[in-house]
Amino acid sequence: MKIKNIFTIAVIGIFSACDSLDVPPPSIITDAEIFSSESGVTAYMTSLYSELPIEDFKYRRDGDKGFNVFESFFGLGINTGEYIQADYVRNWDVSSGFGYWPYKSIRNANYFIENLPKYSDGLDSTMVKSWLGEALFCRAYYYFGLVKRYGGVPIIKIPQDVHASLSELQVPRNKEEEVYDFISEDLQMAIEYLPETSATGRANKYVAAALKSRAMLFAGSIAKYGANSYTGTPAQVVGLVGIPLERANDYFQQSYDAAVLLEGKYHLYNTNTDKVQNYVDLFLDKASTENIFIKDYVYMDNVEDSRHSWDALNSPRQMTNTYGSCMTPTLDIIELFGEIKVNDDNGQPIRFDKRSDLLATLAPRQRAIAFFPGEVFRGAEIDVQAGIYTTTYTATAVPRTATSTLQVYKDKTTGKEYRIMGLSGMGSSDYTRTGLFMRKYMNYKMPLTDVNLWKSTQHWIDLRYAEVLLNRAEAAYELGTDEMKADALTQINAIRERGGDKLFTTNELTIEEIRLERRRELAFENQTWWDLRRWRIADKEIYDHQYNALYPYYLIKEGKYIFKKDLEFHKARYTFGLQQYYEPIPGGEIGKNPNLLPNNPLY
Amino acid sequence: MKKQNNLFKWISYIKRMSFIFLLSAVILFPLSAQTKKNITGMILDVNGNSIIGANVIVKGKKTGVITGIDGKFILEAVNGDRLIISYIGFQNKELIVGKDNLSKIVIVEKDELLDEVVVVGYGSQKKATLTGAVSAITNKEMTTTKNENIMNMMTGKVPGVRVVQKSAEPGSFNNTFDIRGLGNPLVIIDGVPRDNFTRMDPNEIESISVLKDASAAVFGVKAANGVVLITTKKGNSSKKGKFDLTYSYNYGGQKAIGLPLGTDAIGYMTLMNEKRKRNFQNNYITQQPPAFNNADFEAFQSGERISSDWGDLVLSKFAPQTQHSLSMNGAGENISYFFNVGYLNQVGIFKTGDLNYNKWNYRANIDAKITKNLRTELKVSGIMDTKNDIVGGSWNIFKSIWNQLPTDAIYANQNPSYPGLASGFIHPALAINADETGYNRTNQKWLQSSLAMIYDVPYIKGLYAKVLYSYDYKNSDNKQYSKAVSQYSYDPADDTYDISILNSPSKVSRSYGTNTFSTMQLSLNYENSFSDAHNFKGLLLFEESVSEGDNFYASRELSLDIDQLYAGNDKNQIGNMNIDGLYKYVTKSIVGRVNYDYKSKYLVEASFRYDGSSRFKAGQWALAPAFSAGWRASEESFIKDNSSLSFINNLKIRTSYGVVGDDNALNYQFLTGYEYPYGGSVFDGTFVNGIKFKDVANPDITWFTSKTFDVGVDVDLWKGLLGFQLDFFQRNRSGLLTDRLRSLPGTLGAALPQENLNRDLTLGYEIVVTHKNKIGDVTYNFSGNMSITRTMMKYIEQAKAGNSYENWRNNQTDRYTNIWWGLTGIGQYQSYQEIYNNQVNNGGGNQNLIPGDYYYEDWNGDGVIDEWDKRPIATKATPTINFGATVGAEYKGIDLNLLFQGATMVYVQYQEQLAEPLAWDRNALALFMDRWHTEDPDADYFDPNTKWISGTFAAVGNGSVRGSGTFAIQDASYIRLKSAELGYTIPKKIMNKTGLTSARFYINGYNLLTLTGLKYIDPEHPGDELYGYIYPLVKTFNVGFNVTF
Repeated sequence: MKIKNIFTIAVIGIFSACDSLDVPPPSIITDAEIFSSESGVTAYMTSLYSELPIEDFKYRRDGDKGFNVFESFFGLGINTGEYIQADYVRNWDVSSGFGYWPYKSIRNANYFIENLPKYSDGLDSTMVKSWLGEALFCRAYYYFGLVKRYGGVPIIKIPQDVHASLSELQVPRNKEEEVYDFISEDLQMAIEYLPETSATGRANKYVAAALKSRAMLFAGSIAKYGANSYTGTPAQVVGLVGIPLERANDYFQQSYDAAVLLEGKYHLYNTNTDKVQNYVDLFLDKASTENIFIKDYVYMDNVEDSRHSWDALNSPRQMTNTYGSCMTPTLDIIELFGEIKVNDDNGQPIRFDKRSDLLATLAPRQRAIAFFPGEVFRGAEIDVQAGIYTTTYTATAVPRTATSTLQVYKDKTTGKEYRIMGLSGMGSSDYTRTGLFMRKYMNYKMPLTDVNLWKSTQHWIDLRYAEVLLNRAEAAYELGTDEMKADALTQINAIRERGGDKLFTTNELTIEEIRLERRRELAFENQTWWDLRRWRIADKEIYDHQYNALYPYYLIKEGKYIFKKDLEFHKARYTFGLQQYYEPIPGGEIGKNPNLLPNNPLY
Repeated sequence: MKKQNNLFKWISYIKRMSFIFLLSAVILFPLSAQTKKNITGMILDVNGNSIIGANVIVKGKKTGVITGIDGKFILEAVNGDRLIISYIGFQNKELIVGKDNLSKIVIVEKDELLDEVVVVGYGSQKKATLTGAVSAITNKEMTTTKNENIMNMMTGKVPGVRVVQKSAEPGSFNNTFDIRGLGNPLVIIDGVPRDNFTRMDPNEIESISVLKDASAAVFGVKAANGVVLITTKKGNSSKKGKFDLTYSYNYGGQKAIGLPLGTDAIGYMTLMNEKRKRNFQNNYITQQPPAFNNADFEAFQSGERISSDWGDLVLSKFAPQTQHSLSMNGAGENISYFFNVGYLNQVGIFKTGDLNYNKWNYRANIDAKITKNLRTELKVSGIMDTKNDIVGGSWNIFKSIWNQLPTDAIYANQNPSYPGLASGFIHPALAINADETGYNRTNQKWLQSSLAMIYDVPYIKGLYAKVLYSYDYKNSDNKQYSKAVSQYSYDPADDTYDISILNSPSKVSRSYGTNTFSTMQLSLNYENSFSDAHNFKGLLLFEESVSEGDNFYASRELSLDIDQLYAGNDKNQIGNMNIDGLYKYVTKSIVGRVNYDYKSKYLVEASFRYDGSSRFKAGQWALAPAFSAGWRASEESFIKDNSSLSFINNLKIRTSYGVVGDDNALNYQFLTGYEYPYGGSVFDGTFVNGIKFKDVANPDITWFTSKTFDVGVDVDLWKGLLGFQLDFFQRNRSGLLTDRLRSLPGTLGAALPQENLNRDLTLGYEIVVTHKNKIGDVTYNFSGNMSITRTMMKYIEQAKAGNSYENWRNNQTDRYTNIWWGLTGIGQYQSYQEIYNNQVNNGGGNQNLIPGDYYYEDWNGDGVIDEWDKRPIATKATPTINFGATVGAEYKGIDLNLLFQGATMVYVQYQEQLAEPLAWDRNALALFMDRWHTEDPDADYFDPNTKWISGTFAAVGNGSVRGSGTFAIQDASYIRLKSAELGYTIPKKIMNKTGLTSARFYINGYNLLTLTGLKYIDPEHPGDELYGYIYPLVKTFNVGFNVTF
């Protein structure tokens, strides 16, 4: 072969071996890799779900915090009288929120909704539908998180072009009504697209329906009860806050219809004949028939985010290795279930031989959501008291108190020593301010040695069937026909029955009772705050208000316990500001987009 | 004498061919009779010696003769004919018959320098007709410095190349290296971009060229920071058909320089007492008792207790370094070869020698002529190196030995079997011992190969095609064995040693990475001359490359004392990869270049390169055009033919302009996508990894655009007695990446991507002065160079300042970069009276001040020294002005070479223990004994009558004793005798008897002498890298020889 030929062949050979310049970077995962496989979509989904505004153990509503934070004890219940927060936080300026503005998450959901269909060729079409349903569910959830805070917000349905002109990007706010309608549409589509069942932590048809019943109930209430608030303010005039009254029934009907969808699919938890234990377990049993949608936690060594600190923060001081008693229930929330009898008919404190003797007098749910002195927990009796009477008890006698659980009183005559405030203590910091402790969600199976920060893995029930029944009852009652009212009674009584409470009769059932039942059942679940807002009763109910505590004392002379009711330790006064039915649009956002104006009323 | 570069031998081949052609023309076409006359002439050299055998031809005619033994010639010509006289080694001369005097024609020798060939991108050029700013050094110039790192062997020798050696740690190759302050240059070894420059064996390098201006533009989008071209040796031999076997050996001893050490027990206790007294709060009313009393001092003074010398415990006075190299070099009729094997061993300055570096280099360069028209070049080289580091790194040792108290016993109960508790650290004696604490070993291997075929296209003179294919493979294999280690404390009560275990559990970690790079170049090259006046050169090249990287790592805890992964525990084991090391890039490029010169007088060059890369958005191609031109005034007749200007051998003015790119910051910002894993959710009780959404893509993102401009002049006078070069250069970069300052509504849900918005400008000057001469038997030469370069931001995306002060303080636009802001120091208070008289508040109402403390200029005149008094006081980072000078001399086989190198406009600031004695109440460096203190150690610091003894540093006890502003930020200008070499080459006469071809012996020193205003610490020692705990520089003494068989 001639050299020239070799050369030619070599040149041709080399050219034909040329690589294309179209080489995707191996370290960046592309849309194709995400959208064209189930595991890729699942990875995308985990990110959408992890950003849902679920107000759970790791939710803090103020400042620059938000979701997934450590300080779970800055929840909403401190503003509704459900519990008193430790120490320095007594009355809370709740007006500013933390500037929730989840448009990044919304963009991710929008992007998914827009792009998944492009890759649907190689995918199972039912899966594609289901995934779209999940993305719609998540998007609706983000918008619901927004609308319940701000009223009307800009609705962005498709990812915007970064290079679009500023005027295009400065999207004005939609009306509050429009946002709820958008949520309704998304959820309705999700209900259609989603399958009947799903992995826990992911949405199915009924999860979407449950959320819809909640959201539409909000919309209906705002239409009905918000009609007269903020009248004439710029935001109200253009419909950024408030919904026309005539829409109310439509929304209530939607709420009702969505709730009815779940009938027969989920059931109130009723596995233990012991009503107290049943109600305690309801919140800890992952397999509960009542769980519709949970946010789950699991112990992952290297992922702190996969765990939380509920037990460490809120257990009585003697049952945790750090903190303790961060949130302590008020007597007020407890007495929504019925008055606790601590005095005899003459007004004298009842003498109890043991602290635990009081427990027998409590309603099952009352006892199941809060720890009272003397309850057995983590293998020990909760030892707490406000002080001891070393002298003969009279109404005016002064008890001996302490600031630390270490302080001991030694009775000189008998030589016996008494820990003045018990092992868990009452007072400031890590001690209870109300004589009570959180019990709902508390993992009683966790051994004391494990009770530390970031060690808890119990799930949070974001949507449970009891709430759906309460939504249904409320919507039905608001719709107002006799038939509907009868349905409402059925649902409320189902809850009371499971709770071990006396059932209501038709006549006893009022909208107020329905609301109270909701507050009882959903106590500490970060719902009441929103409920009080949508009912527009918060400013009347919480006006220079103080909450009460249960003070246990030991009478040395008698060897008995007594309980006194009095204002909680801080004696803090709470007022719901008139502007607080809405949060202000996050300040920085108005600077970037003046079209968000007018701001919400009174801001 | 400088050797013509072998790589580009074809150039000389063509030249030789044209010479033969010329010669045959003379012989084959003898004179023909026309209307002509016989003219005679004589040719002489400058010394008046007649030249025998010179060619004399009549231009444009086929007439020519050769001069006879008397230098005379006769030939027929008519008036007006042009005679061209040529002779090997001499410059051609042209004369006009009837006009010029032919009786004594003096021809001059060719200037070696101008004849030199310089390697440029994808080719070579004669230095004389070069239009770009290219500096080159040869092997000989480079090897006058003996060092393990090629970069350090270039220091001070190449104008515009800035080299800072930050550490001499074996195997760390810790330097900053740039050209004209432009940033990391592209390094090309034998035509292929490669990363092993620092680790090459100096014996295999033929030359290094540095392309500083638009001459780099043929490298397109990688060329913005200049290019370093390294050419390895080719086979040749002293005698045809014979091969040379050369063995070189170098032995060096290293000694740390500018390395401060901790003070002794007396010093420590003295300073501790002073620190306590310095505390105003605790001593103002009543004096605190001293930390150490007389008995403590006496114990050490009497020898009852011995001060612990932690530095001496770990540092050796002398660390050896050896280098061997064996090369075989030969050329035959059709084949030439160069083989080299090199070995380097460098031991660190720790006593155990467990910090060390080993390197093997090998190379085989083979050139073969296959047929008349086809040649091939094969180059294969490899490097295998091993760095043995100590676990935790050397900096921990320096930090530790500065930190340990001299009053603490090195061994518990003075028993060497029981190393004591070294506060906060692993005991230094254990830490430097691999047997005790394990090791951190990195093995790297490079295998680089290229094959080129060169085909001379028949029938078209000067045209040849070349195909080059190269494949490089590198792997990096790191193994770290961290071993649990015991330290002891002695309990005299029951005569027992308590054990405390550190670094537990033992752990073994491995990481492994591979990189491959392949490139293919197809080129057409053309070179020809027409009418002896028009010289053309052309290049058209297609290049394609693929680079890939991959890696992984794993680590496991060990229960057994076996340093292998398999022996590890499942629990807590880790296996993962570094995502940045996983890549694949493909590039394609087309390069074209044309050179033209008219009679080597008017020179122009134009080039372009188109780059495509998989890192660019589809369809994006970067164009890099460049143009340069030169004028050799010395070739004009008004100089050349003017005898009064005959001292001008060369005078060239040249300029270049090019537009190149820099794709370094491109990292797929035009792509959307996801990173994984990131966060997650729990589904069905199992944690599922989530993804991170990448920022919004910028589809318009592109490389930085660099416009480089250079203008220079090259002058050679009196045949080398004086030469100089002057260059002015600037580089305008635009499209530097930054975030646009545009607040978009949050509802967009995305952050803006980076955009090509910022601009900067780098400019500077370079000057080189050379002198060479021969006086009697002494030949000597001098070359000095200096360069200055600075960079200024021309546009920077920044928030508008709220007021004019803020603008002055923060605005970066039109400002030089790397500016250090600080207070302007005035002095140290000499007495209480001075403190009292100072009306300016230097902090705390001057209440806490004592003599020796610093005071500053109240620049804004508000009576308080604070943030507002700061102004630009120094430059940061690499020195602004660099200079170097070499002096070489030779006398009868003895050669001497000195390299001076230095820098100015360079500043340094120290932190932690280099600034603060007794930091964290640990020991102080001995240098801080040079401090202000009271004459009477027991005196009250706050009593105005106390007598003070001055020192360099402020009194101990108030944090840093170096003050701030201009006191702390110190001028680190220096000049040093970087290397000195004295060699002796055994005369040929003697050698011939031994049968050896040549032999040379030398002694050499590196970093021998440093002149600097900086006290105690080496000026190149960085103040900020690893808080100043970085391994020091060394002074090295070498002896060695080269023998050729």
